[in-house]
Amino acid sequence: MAVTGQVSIDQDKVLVDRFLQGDIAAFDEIFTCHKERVFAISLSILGNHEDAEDAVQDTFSLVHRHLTKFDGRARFSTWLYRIAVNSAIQCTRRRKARPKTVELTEAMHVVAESANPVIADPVIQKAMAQMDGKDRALLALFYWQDMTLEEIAEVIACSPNAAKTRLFRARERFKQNYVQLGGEGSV
Amino acid sequence: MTTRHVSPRKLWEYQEGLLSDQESNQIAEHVRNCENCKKAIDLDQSIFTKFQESRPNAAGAGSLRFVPSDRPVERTINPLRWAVTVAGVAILAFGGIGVFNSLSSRKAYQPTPVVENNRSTEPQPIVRERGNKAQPPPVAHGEGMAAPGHKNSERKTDSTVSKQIVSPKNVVEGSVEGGRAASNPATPTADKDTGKNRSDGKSAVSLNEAAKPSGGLGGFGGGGGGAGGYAALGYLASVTVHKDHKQLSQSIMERKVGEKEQPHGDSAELLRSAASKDSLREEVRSQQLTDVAGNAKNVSDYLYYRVNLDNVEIKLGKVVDELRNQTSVGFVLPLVLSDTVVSAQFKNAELGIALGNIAIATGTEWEDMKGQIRFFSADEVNKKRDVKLGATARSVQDGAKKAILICPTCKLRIPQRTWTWIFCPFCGNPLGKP
Repeated sequence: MAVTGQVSIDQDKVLVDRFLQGDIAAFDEIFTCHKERVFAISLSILGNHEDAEDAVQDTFSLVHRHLTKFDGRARFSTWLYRIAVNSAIQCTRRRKARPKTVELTEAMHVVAESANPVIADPVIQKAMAQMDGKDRALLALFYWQDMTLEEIAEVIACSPNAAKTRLFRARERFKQNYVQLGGEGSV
Repeated sequence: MTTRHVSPRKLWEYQEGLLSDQESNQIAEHVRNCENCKKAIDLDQSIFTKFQESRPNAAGAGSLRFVPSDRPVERTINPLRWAVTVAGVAILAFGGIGVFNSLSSRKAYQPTPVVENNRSTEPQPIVRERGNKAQPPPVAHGEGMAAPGHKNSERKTDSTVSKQIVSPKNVVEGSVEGGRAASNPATPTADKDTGKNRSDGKSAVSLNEAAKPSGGLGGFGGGGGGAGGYAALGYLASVTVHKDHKQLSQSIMERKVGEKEQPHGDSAELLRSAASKDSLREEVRSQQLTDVAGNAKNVSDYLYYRVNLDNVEIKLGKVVDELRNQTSVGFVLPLVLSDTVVSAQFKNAELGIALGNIAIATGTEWEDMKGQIRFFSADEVNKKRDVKLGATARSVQDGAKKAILICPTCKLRIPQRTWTWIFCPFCGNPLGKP
């Protein structure tokens, strides 16, 4: 991961330094460079555009507020993705706690989205929806964001071996859900 | 490797290229010869290829704008937290006022100290040995059920109360008389030593006066300053925490000396005279309790308590029944009414009443403390605390068991001696099974 989005590691460092020195415009650049990746991560975890947008806002708000605490031990992108993953997972928890009933206008959005789904395969979407937020994050980072196990380990703050084990288990759970929902394995 | 089973995890690692070359070659060789593994890998591949292909479409991120100012300002005052804080402060403030009032009212009363030493501030319960051990009993006159360590429990005794040494007979008899006397100062009251009536009415007044010193609730123990019966009850009520038996016995000896020679003398003199009264000590030791709770079957009818203080037995059931009829006597604790056992929790947990202690309150004080009392049915006590009241009596009869009870609330360690403590004498909360 020498390059994150359109920004290299060095560029990240420069932008962060500029922002810490008081250049507010530097943060806009950081946002522009990373928003797509952060949005993709959030979307793959949340499976919903609105929630993903909220998660992106949350992520960058947190980064904006706490960038002074970034100590540079990890890459900025890793730190950012960790925040993005955590925000998305928190968003899934909030969503669970949300009342099941929705307003009519909101329901219309849902219908519109179902016409143009985030994940093309409905079985995969359902199987993913049944999974825990952390498992979703692992699968999304590995299969959709093409992160290596080491990168995933940094993002979810564990060792590569632990990340491998968790990923394997998440994968098995997904497979189980997929087969139960009439996916390919059931044939 | 060709015939060995390969775990799904290894197969997955092989699929993803996460294995070393050597391991990868071995598994590849196995998969070539194993239909099951081949099938499993094929299935996995088909599923996760599809999975990868169905990567969510992240289009639309371009329109995203980061607007920090749009975000709601973080609420600095959480309403719930604020409400809880305000409530907490209010409780503390009222509690503080209560403590202040209580302390200030106690300050007004300075009882003549009888004994300087032999007071323990440690929160240990009263320890009562079997009669044949002849341990002189604890006395803490004028301080009622003051919790150990509390200021009140440090206070020296009221000499008026200390005079009330009674025999079993006059406890039962005198209690009735004393109760009436308390209600009406003009009524003859029981004499301090004989339990016979007195006509000066002084003792009757002392019931109420003795109740005052501790200020409100603190005065219950002091109620013992009344007539003979009340005296005994007063002793019961004034049972408080002492460090050990030795101190208790010494305290009693000194008190007895003080009563005979200088009832109102200062404590130093009493101590000096106490040291020279070995014969009196022997006399007290010789007073052994023999029968205690042999017939205890029903708590409400026959709950016996041994009053080690004076080496007398008091059949409290009767006393309590009599006292119940006295209008001036607000309450007696523990009051065993039919099947209800009463425990009390006092303001600020200053005064803990344990079963086996007794307190007398005047009518006014009773009104004050009504709200502080919790009622437990006998069944509740038996079931929840697993403490059989019958066993209470039996433990007295069978001998002192030196089990230690630990109060689950205040962690006070209470040696189980002549009875089972049901409520912590310090905090008043129920104790568990020893």
